[in-house]
Amino acid sequence: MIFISEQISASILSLPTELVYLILDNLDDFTILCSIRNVCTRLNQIIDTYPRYQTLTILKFRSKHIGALEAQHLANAIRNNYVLTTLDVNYDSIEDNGTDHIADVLRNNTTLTTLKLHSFYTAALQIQHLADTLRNNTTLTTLDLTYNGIGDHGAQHIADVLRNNTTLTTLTLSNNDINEHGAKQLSDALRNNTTLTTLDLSFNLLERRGTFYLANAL
Amino acid sequence: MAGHKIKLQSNDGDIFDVEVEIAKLSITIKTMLEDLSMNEEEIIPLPNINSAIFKKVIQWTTHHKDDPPLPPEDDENREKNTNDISSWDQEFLKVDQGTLFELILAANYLDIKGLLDVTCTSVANMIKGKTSEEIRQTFNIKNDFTPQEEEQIKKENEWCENK
Repeated sequence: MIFISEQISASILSLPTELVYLILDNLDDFTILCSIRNVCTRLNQIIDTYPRYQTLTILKFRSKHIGALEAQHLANAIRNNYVLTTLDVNYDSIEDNGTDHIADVLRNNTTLTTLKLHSFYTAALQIQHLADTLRNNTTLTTLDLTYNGIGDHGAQHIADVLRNNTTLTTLTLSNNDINEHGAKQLSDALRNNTTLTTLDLSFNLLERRGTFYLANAL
Repeated sequence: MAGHKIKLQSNDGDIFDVEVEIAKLSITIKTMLEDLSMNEEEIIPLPNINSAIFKKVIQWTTHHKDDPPLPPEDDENREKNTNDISSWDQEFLKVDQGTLFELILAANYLDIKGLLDVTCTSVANMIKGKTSEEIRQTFNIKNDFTPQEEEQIKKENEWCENK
């Protein structure tokens, strides 16, 4: 005997909210924030009430490859996000102008207080872009650019930021191929900056004169 | 007691003879038998489950009847390793989406945690690594954001398209 089912077959949208939560439990923050949340209104609403999303304040990527498109998704998500306070991306995982997308977010985002971009070997141009947005950002307090090879040119842009920015308290520029010229730029900027409390320039190429400039600025 | 069977009835009227030990993997049925002390001769109705889905549930519980109990929930392990579906389960879950979601609902209703976990993990694996549009295609979901919301998304994307 064949029964013809009258009911519409089950789908992800017909599941009770609690069961969608169980599915979300298996997914990483990036997928929840940047993909699922933007699919449709039902999933958008479910994720807004999902406890893990509500408490998601730190987003970390480790060796996960993020293409330009994903970086754009991420940027769009963070722009409207009022809970995220820390973004931590590591190991060369954003390609092309991915950091540009992140930098643009900083223009509008007012909750992100910590940004860590490790090991990008970010080109000087991108550092300039990042620096331009940081100049007007008033919420970011910690910026960590370890292993980016920004060099003296990059240090100059960061120095420009320090002249104007009054919220950044911790700046890490460890392993960045900065030599004495970069150190001089930073030192000059520091004379006029009264908010920065921690500056990490370990593993650079400062040499004696570079450290001399810095010592004088303190 | 082993091999002793009870009668369970799906919502389309079919009656299934199921070994008590297997049926009791469902906490819902276990509760009915133990706490509500239902007579084991009685036919237990399962109004939320049709025969096709119930057959799948029996197939799964029969295969997993000797599994050790699941470890307790651990907050640290919430983000589970989603590659850990056994090959038997992977084969078992090669079903159409309607069936997969019916299985989730059935596992939830019958309170069979192992089956609920593996079906949810399976759906999560279909989502992993996909963009919003790919997720819509995978699950045949309509983009139902209002024109205003759509406009907002468009606006957000403008700056990168100009680059």
